[in-house]
Amino acid sequence: MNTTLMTKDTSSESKRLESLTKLLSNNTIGSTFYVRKTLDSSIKVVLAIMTVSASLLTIFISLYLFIEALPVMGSIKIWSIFLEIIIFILTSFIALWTFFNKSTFSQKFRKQTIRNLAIIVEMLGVFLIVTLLIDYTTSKDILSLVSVTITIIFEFGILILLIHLFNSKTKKINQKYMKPFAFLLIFLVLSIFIFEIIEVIPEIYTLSEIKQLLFGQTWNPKKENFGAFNLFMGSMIVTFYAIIIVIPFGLSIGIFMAEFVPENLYKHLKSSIELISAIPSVIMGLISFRYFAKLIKSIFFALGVEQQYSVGNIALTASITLAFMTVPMIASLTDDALRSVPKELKKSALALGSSHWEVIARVSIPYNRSSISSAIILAFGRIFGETMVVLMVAGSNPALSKGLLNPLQGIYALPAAIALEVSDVVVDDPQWHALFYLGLELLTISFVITVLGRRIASGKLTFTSVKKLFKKGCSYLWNRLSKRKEEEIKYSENNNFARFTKDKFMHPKNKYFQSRPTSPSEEQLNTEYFETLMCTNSSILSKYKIRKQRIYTGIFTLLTFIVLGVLGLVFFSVGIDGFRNIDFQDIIPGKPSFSRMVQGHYGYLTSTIGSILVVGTAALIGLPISTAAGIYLTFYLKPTNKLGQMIKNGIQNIASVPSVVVGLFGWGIFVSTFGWGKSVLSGGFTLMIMMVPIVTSTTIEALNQVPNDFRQGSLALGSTKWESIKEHNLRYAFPSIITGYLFSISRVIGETAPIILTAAAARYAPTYFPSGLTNSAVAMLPFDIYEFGLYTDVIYPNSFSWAMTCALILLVIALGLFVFGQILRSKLQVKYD
Amino acid sequence: MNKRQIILNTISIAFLAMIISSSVIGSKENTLVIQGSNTVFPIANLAAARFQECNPGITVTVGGEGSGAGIADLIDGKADVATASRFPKQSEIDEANNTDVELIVHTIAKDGIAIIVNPNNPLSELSFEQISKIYNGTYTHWSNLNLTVAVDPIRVLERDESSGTHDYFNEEFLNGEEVNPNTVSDYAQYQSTSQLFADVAENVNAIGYGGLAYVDETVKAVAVKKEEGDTAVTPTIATVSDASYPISRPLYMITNGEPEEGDLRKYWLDFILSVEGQSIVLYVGYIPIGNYLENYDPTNPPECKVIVEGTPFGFITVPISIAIFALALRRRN
Repeated sequence: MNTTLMTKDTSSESKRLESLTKLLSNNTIGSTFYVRKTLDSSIKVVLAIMTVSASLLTIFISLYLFIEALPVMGSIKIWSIFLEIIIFILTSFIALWTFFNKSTFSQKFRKQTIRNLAIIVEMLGVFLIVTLLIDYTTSKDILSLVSVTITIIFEFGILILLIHLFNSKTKKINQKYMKPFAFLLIFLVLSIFIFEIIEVIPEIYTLSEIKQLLFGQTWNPKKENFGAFNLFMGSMIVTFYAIIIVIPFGLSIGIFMAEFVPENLYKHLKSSIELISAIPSVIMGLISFRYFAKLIKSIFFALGVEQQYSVGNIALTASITLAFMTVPMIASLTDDALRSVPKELKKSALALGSSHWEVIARVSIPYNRSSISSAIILAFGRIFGETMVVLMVAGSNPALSKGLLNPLQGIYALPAAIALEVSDVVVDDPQWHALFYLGLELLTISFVITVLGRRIASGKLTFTSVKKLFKKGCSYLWNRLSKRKEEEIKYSENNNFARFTKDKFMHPKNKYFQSRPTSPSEEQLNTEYFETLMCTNSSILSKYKIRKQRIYTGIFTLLTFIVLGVLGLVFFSVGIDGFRNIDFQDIIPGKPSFSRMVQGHYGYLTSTIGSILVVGTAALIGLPISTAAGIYLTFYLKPTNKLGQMIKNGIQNIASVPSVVVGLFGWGIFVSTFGWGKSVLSGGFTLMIMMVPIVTSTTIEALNQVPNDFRQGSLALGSTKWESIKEHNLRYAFPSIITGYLFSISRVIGETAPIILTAAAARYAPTYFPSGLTNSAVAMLPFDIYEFGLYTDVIYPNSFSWAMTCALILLVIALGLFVFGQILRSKLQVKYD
Repeated sequence: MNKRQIILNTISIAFLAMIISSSVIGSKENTLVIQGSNTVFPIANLAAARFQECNPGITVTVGGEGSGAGIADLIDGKADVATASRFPKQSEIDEANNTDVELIVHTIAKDGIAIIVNPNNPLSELSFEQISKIYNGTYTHWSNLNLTVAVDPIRVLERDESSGTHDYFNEEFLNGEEVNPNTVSDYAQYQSTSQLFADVAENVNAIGYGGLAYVDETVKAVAVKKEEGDTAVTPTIATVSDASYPISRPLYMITNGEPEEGDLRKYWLDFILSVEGQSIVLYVGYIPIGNYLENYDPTNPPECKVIVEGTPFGFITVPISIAIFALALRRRN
């Protein structure tokens, strides 16, 4: 430890030591020590509580949506039994798997698993007994009574076994005890499962409600027809075509950035592409609604199909807009992936006489198949949950009259239905519950897609891994049956390089590589490098290859410039239209007068203050929680730890919840249940949920950059854990953490769907501030853009230019924070060399 | 404590102080809270601005969260006046009765809905039954109505779900069902009325509907009769106002009990129903139900009658929050 300290930069180290000795002299070990110790442990507890509560948010949201959606989904009993069945299947699967997979799991782990399973079964049994008893008291059904008796007997048996297991905790449990116990457990699970099925069969006919929700084609809340299939299909149409459009653009910009752009231009290109993601979606919706829809309409007019498709508000318009918004996501992920390809691979491909384009197409892209496909899947999840564009541009007719996959028709998407219909629904009406069902459906789909994408990205789920799992299962059975042992070829699963070389280069058909060893020596790498240098001389390449490469490079450049051009047009239109209507008289304190209002001046200062109030409240609550979670996960419960990984995933999962679902949750909990109404507090708490995952991950990243030596030194000198973290890691990571704060605020200030549901409403009041923290809706910039943008000039004079002014202000704030954060990060970053 | 911490602390304290000061100030007297329909919001919004300009002692807050929210707030006592584009539902009336709230409904304006066609279309009048048959797909061609139009298939246009007009129209003519685009020969749906009118102006075979205020010379408003034997009435402000034109929906303001003389709510309702109030209604695009000024110029409105005099309190908020901000700064230093 000491030696490493000495080799570090001596000047900063002496400063550290000085401060440490100062700290020690101030706090003599004695009575204050206990105070410090208690402070340390209590801070740990506080951090743990904050972290765990943050990580449980997603589960809480989905549970709440499920409970609220239950009344339209069928009887409660059938759903509780259904849930139990799922849990039983899972537990028995896990039991079987752990028990028979002797090689991978230790004796201790298997013992623990079986004990935990027994506890779960016990708890479920108690739950079952209670529900069945309640059922018996209401229906006097003899079947229930019989089943209660059977379950109680089973429960008793498990309890005895459980006690036995707990007693022999200290002793060694040998195979003799475990085997019969595992079988008994499985038998119990199976018997309860079968019994459940018998119980459910008479009720299966009542499942028509859920069938209607899933596959019903008419959505008419006023007639209480809740068939959400067409809404789902509407979302799917928009997402599907958006993905088809975004793939060529995103991939070619990613390839262009990684392979063709000179290093000095790369930074600028990357940051300008990332600017797209900082544009709030409501602004894109407004521009698309006012300009792009008209463009599409005139294109159809020019093509001569105007009789059928003269409306610009169709799914295709929304798809193209959403595709533009998702370009930076796919592009930067592709860029990162392509940059991670080992140089040796590219060089050896070049050495074999392939052109630059061939290296990309045959080496770089196949090498990163999983990360590129996961980028596309993640983009899919993101587009599926995006609300504002489909709400403003895609129309709102759920009929889908021109076929289920035709993008040339107006559609009514899931998130749009939630955002539109919430405004005038009575609490506890069937429609209220139906909306929660929509939220649940949206959440489930985007959640599953995102988790899938993330697993593919982390290399846990690949085609080969699925195949391997299947093979493993088959070979296990085969071994059991034929007692034959198969030779296993073991190579590292996580080493992509090794797998790639094996799959591609060591392919039996490839005669050249058959004799090569798997890992090339240093000497061989050097010779390859020479060959590469030779091959970069393009005279070796054939004319055909060169021409092909030029064509592809041209296409990539063209697509990149198209996207940059659209970005420029967006900024240009917002800037021009927004600036035209700005009147600096609006800044002078005082309410917007009548004569000014009829001229189209509604007082943008009120909306700006409203936005700042709500986002400020969100920041006041959300930033401490997420910073605490970051600290806790970095220093107390490492993300490498299994539990830490779970908690971290839990927090990350919030990011995959669509913003409109977060809004729906806030609307149900804060607006209705707590009775806060649309207000600063409801909006602040809702936006806080959206802030947590962003800030937590940036905090963890920032804290991990600080070398641990400083902290260890201070620990060695007698400071408590919390003191060492506060004095060293937090201080050094401060600039990066603040940058994370700014990014999250710039992201959240443009969020529209949650605040439509929880905070903002059309509002006119003579004061700048809402009359209270609760029960007083706020005027907010994104809401004004949405509201005034869709209205026509008859009702609100100059409404469009007004919306554009708000858009300009919002864009300036959001982009300002974004750019300021980027500058801050580059300026303030501490270097530890 | 270093500089950075001081700045952060003062900002957060000032932020809190601003909220608290703004919530403390603003006395309950001489304030009027209006909450409710998004449709009525433009009327209430402009009228409130004018009302306050005339009466500097009064503070009016207007919200447009929706008809349901407005009535709920009225029942809870959070709002003084609820605005609504529909009559209160039975469940809402029951709830009001349970909490000893008497919902008194005042009609303040009407939303006249014109059925419009292209000016080159020879169609001049329609009955309710014919409108229903056009929108539910029984009549798919203009020749079904014995008309010769340059393009024969009927192009049916409607507003989107977010529109109150859409709901009213479907309730009136389609028994609350939606238009099924498969049964009509040509169909489009618009998110704003002006877009829909532009489509009708372009296409000779189109038919649509929308607020009467949007009608200009580019489209033709069709005369409508309720039954086959009646005389068809052309929509104008006068015919909608005296209810001889059959397709219109009233817009309401709802109070708890009939407001008496001297009550602020009474002054407000009187203002809305006054000549200037009704002129604002027309200006915003709805149909007045009382007398209005023919050539009302909102940028130069006529003299108004002062009902309540007094000092406005709203502007104090800003200086007080600045003072608290300064205090906080001083204490920190």
